[in-house]
Amino acid sequence: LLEDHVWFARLFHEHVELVGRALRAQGVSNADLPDVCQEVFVTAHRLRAQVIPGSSLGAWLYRIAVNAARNHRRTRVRRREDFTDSPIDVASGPEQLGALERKDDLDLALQLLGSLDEEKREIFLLHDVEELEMKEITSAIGIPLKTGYSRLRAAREELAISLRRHRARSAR
Amino acid sequence: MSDVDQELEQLKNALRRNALTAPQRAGLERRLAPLLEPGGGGGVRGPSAKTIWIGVGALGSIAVLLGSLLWTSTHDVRSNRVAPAIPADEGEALEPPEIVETGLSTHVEGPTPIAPEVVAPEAIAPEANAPAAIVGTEERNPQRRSPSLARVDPRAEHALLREARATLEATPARALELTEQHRVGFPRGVLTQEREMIAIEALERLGRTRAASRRAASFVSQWPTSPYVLRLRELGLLEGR
Repeated sequence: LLEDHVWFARLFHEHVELVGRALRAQGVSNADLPDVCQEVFVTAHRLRAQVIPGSSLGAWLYRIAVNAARNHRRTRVRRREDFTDSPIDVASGPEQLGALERKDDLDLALQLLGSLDEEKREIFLLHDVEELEMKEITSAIGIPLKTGYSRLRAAREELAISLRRHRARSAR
Repeated sequence: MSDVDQELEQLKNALRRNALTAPQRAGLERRLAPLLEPGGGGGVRGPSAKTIWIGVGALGSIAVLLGSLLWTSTHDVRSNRVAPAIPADEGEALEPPEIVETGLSTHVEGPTPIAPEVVAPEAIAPEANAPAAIVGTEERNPQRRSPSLARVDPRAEHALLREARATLEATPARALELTEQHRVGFPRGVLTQEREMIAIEALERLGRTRAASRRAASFVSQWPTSPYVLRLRELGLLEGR
């Protein structure tokens, strides 16, 4: 049990920031972040036996975070149906790029990320933001290395296009 | 680098900064304390002590019932003859079950408790190998498993970081490893800023500049008024901040 605690403590301290960023990128609000983060680590603890030795814990946690964020969104949508209180801040799709009026970098980044499909967003965040090696990402996701690079290239291109479109709209 | 590339880089930095705040992280550590620290607090969303005792009571009742059934079956009441005694190993089946608290949930294990699942150390980065000294101490002194290891011996915390500082120049990898040991062994230590500074400098010496810069940015967001911020600036790790 002690080894279990040490392993989990290390997992937490080394990846809590990654999990936080992943959740925010998935549209989890700042107010809900601690709750969903907790959910991620509790799930990781429960699933710890599934970790393949040598595989990327960051990519593994990222996937748990994506699922937790998805569940969280569903719960919030249900709650919203009941109470119609605070709006949910899920990243928007490409058709909503017109909403990119805000100047704030973070909002803009989250909006642009929302224009990517999950596969590309995952690769982009893990490689370009978290700076994980492509080899460990593709190994954790279970895709060929080449596919990983092509998704990354596509993600960067789509983001650049979205950004140019945003700048064009802002300039008007 | 084109304007778009530059702007994308800016957005990536914004995403990197977009993590938990220090109070959020501290709150999360408190919530997860049962999983993070040996002997720490109650279970995370696990059953309460009351629930556990109800479970133990129920199991006790079952054991008594089974015992009485066995007693009845081993005594021939009609002939008033005593049946052969139960072998010792069969009798052990009536031993009270062991309760294993994982922090997540409490499992009641049978007479042959299952070992906790421990992930092989290969799954963890080499620089974060298990802190042997701390593990050893804990195993030798299980009664000292207090909620915070930091309170066990503050001098040990200081000694660990002094060693890390001493090895920083010659073997930064070792210094980094020692800071990781500190982080795991002293989650509520009083020398957190010092540890982070050593870790940042070690990363920088190892040529892992991006990791060092990121950790430096995290340091500044947690302790913006720390005197160490000046040192980070000197190291050139806070450009544009």
